[in-house]
Amino acid sequence: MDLRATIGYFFSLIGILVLGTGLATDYRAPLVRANVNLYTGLVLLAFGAVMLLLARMGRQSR
Amino acid sequence: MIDSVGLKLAPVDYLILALYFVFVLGIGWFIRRRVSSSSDFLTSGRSVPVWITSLAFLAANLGAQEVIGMCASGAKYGIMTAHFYWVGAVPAMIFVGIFMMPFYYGSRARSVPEYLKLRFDEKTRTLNAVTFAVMTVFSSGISMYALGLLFQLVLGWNFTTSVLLSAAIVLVYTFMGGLTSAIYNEVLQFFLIILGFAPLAILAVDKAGGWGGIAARIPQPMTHSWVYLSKASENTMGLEVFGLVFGLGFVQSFGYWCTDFLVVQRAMAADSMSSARRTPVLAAFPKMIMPFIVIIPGIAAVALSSAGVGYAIPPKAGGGLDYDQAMTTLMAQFYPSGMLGVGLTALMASFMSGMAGNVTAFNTVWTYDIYQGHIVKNAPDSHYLWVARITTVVGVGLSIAAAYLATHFNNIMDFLQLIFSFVNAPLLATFLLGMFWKRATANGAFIGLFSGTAAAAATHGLTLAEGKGGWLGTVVYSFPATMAQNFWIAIFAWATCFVVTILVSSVTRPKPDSELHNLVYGLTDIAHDGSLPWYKRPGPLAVVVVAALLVLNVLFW
Repeated sequence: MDLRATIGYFFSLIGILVLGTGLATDYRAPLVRANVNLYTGLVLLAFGAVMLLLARMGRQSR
Repeated sequence: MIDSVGLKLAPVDYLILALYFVFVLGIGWFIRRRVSSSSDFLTSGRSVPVWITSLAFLAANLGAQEVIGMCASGAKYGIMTAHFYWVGAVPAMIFVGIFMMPFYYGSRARSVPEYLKLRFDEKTRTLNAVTFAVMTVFSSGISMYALGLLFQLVLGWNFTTSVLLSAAIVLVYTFMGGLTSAIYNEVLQFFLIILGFAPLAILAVDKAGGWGGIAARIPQPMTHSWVYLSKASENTMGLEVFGLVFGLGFVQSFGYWCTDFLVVQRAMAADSMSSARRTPVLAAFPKMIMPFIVIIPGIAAVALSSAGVGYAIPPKAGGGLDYDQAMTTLMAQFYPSGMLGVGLTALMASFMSGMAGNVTAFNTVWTYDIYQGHIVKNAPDSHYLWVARITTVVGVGLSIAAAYLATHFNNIMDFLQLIFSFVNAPLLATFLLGMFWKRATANGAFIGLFSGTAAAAATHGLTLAEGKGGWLGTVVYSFPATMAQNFWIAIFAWATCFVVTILVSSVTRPKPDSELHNLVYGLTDIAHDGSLPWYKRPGPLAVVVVAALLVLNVLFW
């Protein structure tokens, strides 16, 4: 088991869920004007993608 | 009963939480195949890569109480809370990595108490093992109680359901994969904690008008970490420089990070001496920035409360403010459903990483130091693997019992936590002398430990702070705050143990040099690593950490 890949899949999935929520709905927190889910969803997804990339590079170098 | 703050969750929030549960259990499921001996289960067979051990080293300490408590302290004391990181934890982590790990890892001991047996004797080890086992069970019970209470308060979830569900999940994945499973999950939990809480810090600080806006709204001593330390009466913690640097920085933080098996166990699971030494040093990098994620939101909460934007730290039932709710109420105001699910899952993750840390440390100490040391000494390894698994179940069961005990006897729990905060202080003196002075003897260490603990109790009994202590009848001194009292208790406990150990050692017979190989400074070969690049050597990495630490202290001077 490559932990980087596991973490990568996990954050990609919740990133997609959060980003999807931001795109599909207009949930707003009481004190924030922006649609927070769009931004945090992107960050989570990007982090997941980087971990998956690292896992892939690790596999190739081996 | 206080009303719940009315957090409403959407299906997506539950979906995120469920996804998290699937992943942590899945990690346990995959790791279970790697477990074929007691050392696989309890010490990860010393085979974990350094990037994983260092993040686990940090995450095991990052329990829910740490996250919620540091945010609460931020709201109560301001940026001075960062001293727990910048004066306390980080220097201690450097020290344990550079100076103590050669003996912990090099001795091939399987636990911290076992090191004490090799260095001193059986009775010193047993004293440490028993105290530690009791302590871990109660600490995980207390943090389980805190979590159940918070979820009840914020989400209206049933206390029993959330306690049993979270404990069951921790039990399943530690039972399947042992320490390796706990450590792998801690890395996932670490990233979740960072990514789940960091946006909250950014949003809250932004709303409060940035650091400048915060500084304009709250009392000056809350935004400076050193300026108001010259007089105890001027700063929020009631401390002066000596109490801070020696009490918090040296005795309490070194006592915890350098001797507590919960964290040291992560470094001891590393795949080589070099990895073991780098584990705490690498962990110091993220540790340094934790104040921005857990303390700053608390400070922003205070500023927001006076800004009239519709946020206030909720009041406590008995008067005053309930700072422990700062973190969750901020989430309710700044996270919409979706990100809210991530934030709450991060809170759950922090709880689980802390609890799994306690459980894996408890089962190792019980199996190797108490069971194998005293009850069944020479059984085949498969027997100890079986005992370790049973102990995992029993440990979780005892934690749940402790959580329920806490719901009924809150004062007892306060008292126990106070006791625990003193256990590590004398122990630090024992380890420093044990590792760096080969003349220190077993009887010296044992009597020193006892006198140190007695000194802690006596100091608490003779002093008073915020109505606490003074139970010996006469009050010799009154502290302006319990924080100051705690640090001074630790200082007296440490100093007493240090002096008594030296005195008793000098009149008792030491172990011969031949028995101290790899246990004491001067009789241990420390490998030279000059041929490696700087970022793979603990020394140069430590220098970088210290430089960054100085910058942080100056920035928040």
